Amino acid sequence: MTATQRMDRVPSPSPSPSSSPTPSRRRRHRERAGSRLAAVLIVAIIVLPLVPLVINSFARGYVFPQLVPAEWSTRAWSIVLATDGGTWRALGWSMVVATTVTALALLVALPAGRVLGLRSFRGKRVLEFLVLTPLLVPAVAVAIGLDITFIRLGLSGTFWGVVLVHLIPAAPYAVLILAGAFANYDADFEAQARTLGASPLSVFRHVTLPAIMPGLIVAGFIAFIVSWSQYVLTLQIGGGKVLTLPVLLVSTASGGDMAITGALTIVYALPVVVLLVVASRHVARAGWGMTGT
Amino acid sequence: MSSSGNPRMLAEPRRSAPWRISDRSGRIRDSAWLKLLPALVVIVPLFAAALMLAVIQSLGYFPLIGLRSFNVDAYRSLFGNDEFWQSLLLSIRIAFMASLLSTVLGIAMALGIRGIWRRSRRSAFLFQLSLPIPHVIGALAIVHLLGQSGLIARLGHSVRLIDTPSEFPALVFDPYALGIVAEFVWKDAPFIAIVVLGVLGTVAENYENVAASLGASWWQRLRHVTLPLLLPAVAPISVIVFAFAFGSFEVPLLLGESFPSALPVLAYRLHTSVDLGLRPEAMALAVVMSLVVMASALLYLVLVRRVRRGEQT
Amino acid sequence: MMTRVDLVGVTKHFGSVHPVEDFSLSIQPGRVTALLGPSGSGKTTLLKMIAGVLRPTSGDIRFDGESVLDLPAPERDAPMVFHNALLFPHLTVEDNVGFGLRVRKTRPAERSRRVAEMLQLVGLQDLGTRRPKQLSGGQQQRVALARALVVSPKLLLLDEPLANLDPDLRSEMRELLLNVQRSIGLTMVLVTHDQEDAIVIADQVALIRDGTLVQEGVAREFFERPASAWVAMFFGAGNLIPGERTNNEVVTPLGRLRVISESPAFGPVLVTIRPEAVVLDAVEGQPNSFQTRVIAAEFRGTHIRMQFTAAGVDLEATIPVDEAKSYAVGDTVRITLPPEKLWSLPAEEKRPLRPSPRT
Repeated sequence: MTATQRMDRVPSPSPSPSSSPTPSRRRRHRERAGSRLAAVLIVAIIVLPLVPLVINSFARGYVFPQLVPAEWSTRAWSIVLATDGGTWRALGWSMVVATTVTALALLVALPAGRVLGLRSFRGKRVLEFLVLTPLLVPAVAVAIGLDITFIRLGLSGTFWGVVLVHLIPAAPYAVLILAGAFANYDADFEAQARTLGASPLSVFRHVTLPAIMPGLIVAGFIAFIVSWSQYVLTLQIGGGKVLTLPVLLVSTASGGDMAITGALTIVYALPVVVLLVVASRHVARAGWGMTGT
Repeated sequence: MSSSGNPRMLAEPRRSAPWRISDRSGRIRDSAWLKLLPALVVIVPLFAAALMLAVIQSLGYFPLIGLRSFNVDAYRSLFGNDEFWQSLLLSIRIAFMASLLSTVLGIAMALGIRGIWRRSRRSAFLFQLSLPIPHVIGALAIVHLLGQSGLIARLGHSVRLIDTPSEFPALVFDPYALGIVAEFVWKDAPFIAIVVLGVLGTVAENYENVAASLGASWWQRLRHVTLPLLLPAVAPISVIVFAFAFGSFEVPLLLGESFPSALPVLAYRLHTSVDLGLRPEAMALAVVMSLVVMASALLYLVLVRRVRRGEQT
Repeated sequence: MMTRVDLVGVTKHFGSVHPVEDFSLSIQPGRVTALLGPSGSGKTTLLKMIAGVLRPTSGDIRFDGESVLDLPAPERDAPMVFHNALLFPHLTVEDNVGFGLRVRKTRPAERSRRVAEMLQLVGLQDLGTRRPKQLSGGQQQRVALARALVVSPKLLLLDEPLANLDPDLRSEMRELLLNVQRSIGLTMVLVTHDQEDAIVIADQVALIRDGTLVQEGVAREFFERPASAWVAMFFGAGNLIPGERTNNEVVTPLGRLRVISESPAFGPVLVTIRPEAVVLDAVEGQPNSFQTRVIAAEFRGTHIRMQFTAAGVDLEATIPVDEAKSYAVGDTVRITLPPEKLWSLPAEEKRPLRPSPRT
């Protein structure tokens, strides 16, 4: 038992809080309900545009003015998922290209991001501009500029050609995100490990890598998404041979069959959503894109 | 930028030329530029090559079709082309509206979702959903949502507002590019909102508490404290949104009218035209687009620097 | 200006975290009260609840007897000053100071007059047009103070206002706070982890540990009559002698000690004495005196800190430099613990004693 607290017992002249809510308590309840409503509305608006596509993929003859499809059917899905259809091949192309781009982008971005994030040196600002621009420059411009040359070099219509052009927007993104991760990193940990006798490889594996892992995950996620989403670059440089999902999707959409388009869209969107679930623990915290700079 | 009393800059030691690979005793230096080399090798040649090739070919050096001289004919014919100016105007208008609306709505969304953002992981997840979704999907989604026989139109029918699809206003394939702007806003407003939420959570809350204890009401805090604190952080992101919207190909392709097309669509059309003589014009157009975007990148960096310097009190 | 604040059973829970638990305190009008405690003890949470920025989970907060629980922060008239000043970066010094008046829709002419007056009061009259980032830490703090005072508040709440300042600036700021408080007669509540700040500035100190009030009173009482061993250690009383007390005698390993204090602890106790009160070299025959061996003698600038041991008990004393000069480690010395300086504390201390943060 601790010593008694010296406390002035205050006879309160005012009555204790009454059982009926005071006006401002009612107001607070209303405010909280209002903000929850706002949040629900906002989330609904974001999810809403995807809804018609999903409905369409399971509907037959889903024309105006039907809201709920009069006829449900899995026709579109059986066509889209058919083993002899183009979907699986396109999915394969997209997957392999995106994975390769991600791996290369991370490999290249790790040392670059480290330098940009940790050090300050002459010409750093020039470098920031150099890294930022490929991200922003219209993909069309890049496609147009490189087209003839890639044909000449024999890269047009090849897997590596497409990977190379995808790296143009993907690598800078990875560099910027990793630079942001390294900016919050204290290199003294490495010095500490080295004085304890660790080899450079050991230091990297046990000190650096774990520390920037969230940044790596985000950078990898973004690089993947960037490659996954590319359209005109693949369209032009792929030369009709590298047929990724977006290219297939656009040509399918112009075909007019909305149900098939809807189903294919879902196939295209699903890996993105899955990856978002996996990466979202780190993404929300590390921020999207360039907030790290 | 020269040091204007910025303490961080004054503390930097003078460094020897960073491109020197070995130091005085001959050992390989831990050179910054050496570390950057792989990234530079990958990004710069490809990207610079793309640009330089575009520039060269735009200046008339096009061996493929027998042009070997340097001239500005391509530019002259481009700038003389009425369609170019209309497309340029259209693209700038789209990008500007996308940027403005995304910023305003993004800030509003962030303020609205502020309470739930930290508490509910499910809401936070759903809120970010539109960000990684490719623009191709976004564009198709908008068609199905806002098109004349889209979901909203059908809802309008079910509440007896309209009878036929043509009574529904043209929101896609329209001269005002409303559908296109809507797609960009759908993707970018949450992006801006997330940036805003970052600032709100860390910096703004303390200032808002001080303002509240000094007597400022909710609205007064918003106007005099929160917004002035947010805007510098958001401004560079708005510029990024502008640049992306300006250069986007697939969204105007899928949602836009064919005339006038957005600039990237026009460029592609010129480039793939059977008339090879239009190629230099396509290159010139690529160069022009790149210049607009590079100017935006510079603006972004200037704005970001101002934020960074402002934070160093 | 002279508002009385009563905290009645205030509790705050954030899910499974309970920063404040059943806290009750009466804050005297027109006085400076310090909420003193180690980091994480919940004192800032309490301050924010008084300001209205946080809402208590249960309990009541009253200004002049009337509950302010449903009164939102902007209407409580209790501005906060934070340790990092938090001057609005986009406004000039003048606009910062005038902020509270502006949101109260005070006329511009009146506003300028009062802003100038306040800047004069804190000694920054020439810096009105500067921006916050052009000011030093100490200057920013003074602007923050001016900003809070200009609205003639009922109550001023300060969160570790001296924490970020260099030692010389700290004493300046302390003086400024005291002067201001005395001339206006403002009720001030100050949160700090620094004992010296609390002792020098405050009329009333409330010591907080893990969200509960441990002891409350004037500063001297914490030194001479600590409520528990933890309080004693917090204020640097390193001497705790275990023993069994009956009436005015305590049986300890050092022998029978005579105690004449009115401390309420009996039975198993810890007897404590301030290091400053230990007497060296006493003449034989004094009560509570015994032989000890010197185990340490450290020069501390203004005094010598000596440690002795006897019968397995370590004792500490602060001795003026001259007196201690003749003693070396290993020497035998007779020390005396004057009975009137001994204070007994209840021996059961369930939580482990942490070493006190020394100023």
